[in-house]
Amino acid sequence: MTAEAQKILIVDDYEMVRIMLKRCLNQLGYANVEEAVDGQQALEKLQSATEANSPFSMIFSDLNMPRMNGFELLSACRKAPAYQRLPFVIISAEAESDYISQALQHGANDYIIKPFSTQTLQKKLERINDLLKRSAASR
Amino acid sequence: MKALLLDDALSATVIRGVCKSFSELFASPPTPGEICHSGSAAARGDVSGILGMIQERPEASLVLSFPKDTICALISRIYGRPFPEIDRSVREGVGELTNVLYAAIKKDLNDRGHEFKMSIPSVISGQDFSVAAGGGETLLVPFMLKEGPFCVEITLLPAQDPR
Repeated sequence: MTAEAQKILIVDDYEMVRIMLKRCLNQLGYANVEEAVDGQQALEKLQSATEANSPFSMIFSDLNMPRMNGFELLSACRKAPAYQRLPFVIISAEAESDYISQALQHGANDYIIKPFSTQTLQKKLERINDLLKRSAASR
Repeated sequence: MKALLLDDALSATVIRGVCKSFSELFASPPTPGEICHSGSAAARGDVSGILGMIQERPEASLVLSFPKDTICALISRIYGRPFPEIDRSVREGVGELTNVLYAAIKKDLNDRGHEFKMSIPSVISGQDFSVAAGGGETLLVPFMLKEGPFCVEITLLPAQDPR
């Protein structure tokens, strides 16, 4: 799937982070980007998009958020058949291996440490897109 | 567990954390100024992000302080519109900057045997206030960006009397 065809959901309680991430994604050709302020709103947006037959193709989520944090959102996604295989990338300032391991154990596909460069994001997106291609080919 | 010391290694950790965070976020590496160790140093500014550095007990406070002109210019660069005053978006930006900076400092310290935990920043603002966080020994590192000055302050907190 090309960058233009993908629909990405970014989840972070800080507007500044959402703006910076959206700008990086736009620079890399991902124009269809929506935002949620916490895990609860993200789940609502995932559900509405699926019901409208316009599902998200990828999700980038912060860890520490009010109402529903990134781990809770990730667990909820992995339990729901509709989002079980949705590529899920955690974006957090927490850089210690404990957090990264925990995220991967919960089913995250990747982990980006804040602050990050557009180049780092591009590499992670290439990895996720490879994963999506392999997954589509194996079906 | 190692106790936190306001030594050269901590100064280097703060400088590394600030330079890395600000270079990535603003593509603008800050220049560190003269480090100040004292019992009476106090960060001055118009807005500050503050958090507790906690191992087994609250051991220190970290304060990231900006004058209004510096932070408004930085946040304007991110949002792509002017911020003449310190509003909710600016305060939120200071909170996130404090969070990102502490995470970088915490990782560096924990890699060297400390066990600092995650902490949530608070943001305070007001005209040219100073923060006397805990009143103990203080390390103050000033920085300069093309947008203006800012500073980071770490103040040791006295151990609580167990009685």
